[in-house]
Amino acid sequence: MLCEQCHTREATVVIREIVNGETTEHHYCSQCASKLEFGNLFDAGSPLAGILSGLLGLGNGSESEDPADQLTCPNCGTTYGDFIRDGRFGCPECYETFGPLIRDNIKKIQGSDAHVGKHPKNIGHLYQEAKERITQNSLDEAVEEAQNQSAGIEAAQSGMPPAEQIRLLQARQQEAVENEDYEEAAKIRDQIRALKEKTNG
Amino acid sequence: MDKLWYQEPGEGSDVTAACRIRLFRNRADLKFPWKLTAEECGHATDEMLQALSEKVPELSDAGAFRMEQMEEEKLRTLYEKAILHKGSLQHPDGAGILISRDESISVTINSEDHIRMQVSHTGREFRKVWSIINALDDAINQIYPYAFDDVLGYRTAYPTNVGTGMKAYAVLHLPQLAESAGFSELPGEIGRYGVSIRPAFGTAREESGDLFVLFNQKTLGISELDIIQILDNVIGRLTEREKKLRQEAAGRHRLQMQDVCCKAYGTLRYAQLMSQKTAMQLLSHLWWGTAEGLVAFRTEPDFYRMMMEIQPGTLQEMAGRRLEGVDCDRERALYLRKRLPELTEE
Repeated sequence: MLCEQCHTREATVVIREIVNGETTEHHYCSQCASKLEFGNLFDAGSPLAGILSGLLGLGNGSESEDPADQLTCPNCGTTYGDFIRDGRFGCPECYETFGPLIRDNIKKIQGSDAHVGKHPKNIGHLYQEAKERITQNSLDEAVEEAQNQSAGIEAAQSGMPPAEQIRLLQARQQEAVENEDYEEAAKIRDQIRALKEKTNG
Repeated sequence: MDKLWYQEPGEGSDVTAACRIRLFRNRADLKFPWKLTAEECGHATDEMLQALSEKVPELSDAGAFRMEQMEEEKLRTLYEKAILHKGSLQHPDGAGILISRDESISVTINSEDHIRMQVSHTGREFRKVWSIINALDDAINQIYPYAFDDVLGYRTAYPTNVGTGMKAYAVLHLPQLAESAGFSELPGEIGRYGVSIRPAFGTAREESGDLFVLFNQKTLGISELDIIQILDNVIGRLTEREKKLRQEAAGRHRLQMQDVCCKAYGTLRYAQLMSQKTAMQLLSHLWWGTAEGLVAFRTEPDFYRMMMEIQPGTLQEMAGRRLEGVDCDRERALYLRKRLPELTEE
């Protein structure tokens, strides 16, 4: 049966209307059905699902137009759009990729943006390993490698320890995000990543 | 059946029935569970279940299960007992769970986070619970390096849990406070301290037998011990207020209150069918009446335990058979008749 609205697509939705005890049946295709006034019945998922997760995003709620959507976590492939929809990250490294975007909102929700309390003894994190390497007197080597890897980083040229460079870059990344320069933010993110990988050997 | 944690009364449990702490942790070397393929996730879960049961002393007596292999009823029971979270109920595939024999310690593997551990205890015993879970956390961390951020703390799948990755819960019995006029404003009041409150079972106070769960909303920028301290302070104030209201009610309307308790006792003792809602309400009356000395039992009744065990899943598990509709109400009435001690003569 064809859709009684557009008469072109196959009808897949049956709507029974009961008025004063009289039942009438309508057959629509899913596209036309979704345009009807009860259209939201056919939207995927719960209409409430995205409300709170969206809070962590950049704010205006116009998800599809958001330039930050281009951001993708290089480790797990989660996009910023995925994150805003589900409110969850795909892997621990997503914090590197999306962290600067949501830091302000985390602060609004949690009332703070810095952890206080227990630190685990065993951290497999690249950042931590980089720090440990520095204490192991391989600092110069690490800096040199980092310089070779990302010549564009001013910090590296000044001979700054990698951990410092990373902190500096993260600040710049945050700044880029605040200026909505997501391309620049993505570039810096890749630099941070390269630096971490390099320091990690 | 082994003795379970809630069958052992704790300190100050006439208002604070129980407390529990959950810690959310993630491995540094794996994507979060929902990003893993079914095969990767199942493989990781099996490996983790085995490693944890072998190497973590706190879990040496624990049962290890793959969640999708457990019966739906069993999962529901674990949910009633607050061992499982709603999220893990909805997506059991690939996830696993370790539960100690007395069920006080459990670790959920690869549900929302790689590792969600929980320790429960009766009474107002947050510090004890913290010391147990802190040691458990360290033992697990020895096996798996954690994903951790110098600035944001423990990296969790949901950034709303980032920081300590800790949620602390207290189960409070607040029959008089819930009855009082200002109760509807309580969530707003305690919300200013980052603390939330909700009924312990179901969504309404009546179904819950006036049991409420108090928990911390914030996880970032506040240390584990401060989270506990704030909760404990709020519990202290609520307990004080609740006890005062109880004393007032018992003093001013002693006979009426005694009558309510005795009628509750009579119904619990002799009813043939007992719905959950009614049973919870009657137990709630009798509980605070006993604490206030309005009625006295030959042996000390354990009200929290009874409230836990008349939940449909737990009742069914104890009966060892499927209970539906009137069968469930009958079993509940039978259980209560057997479990409730006799009143003294006076």
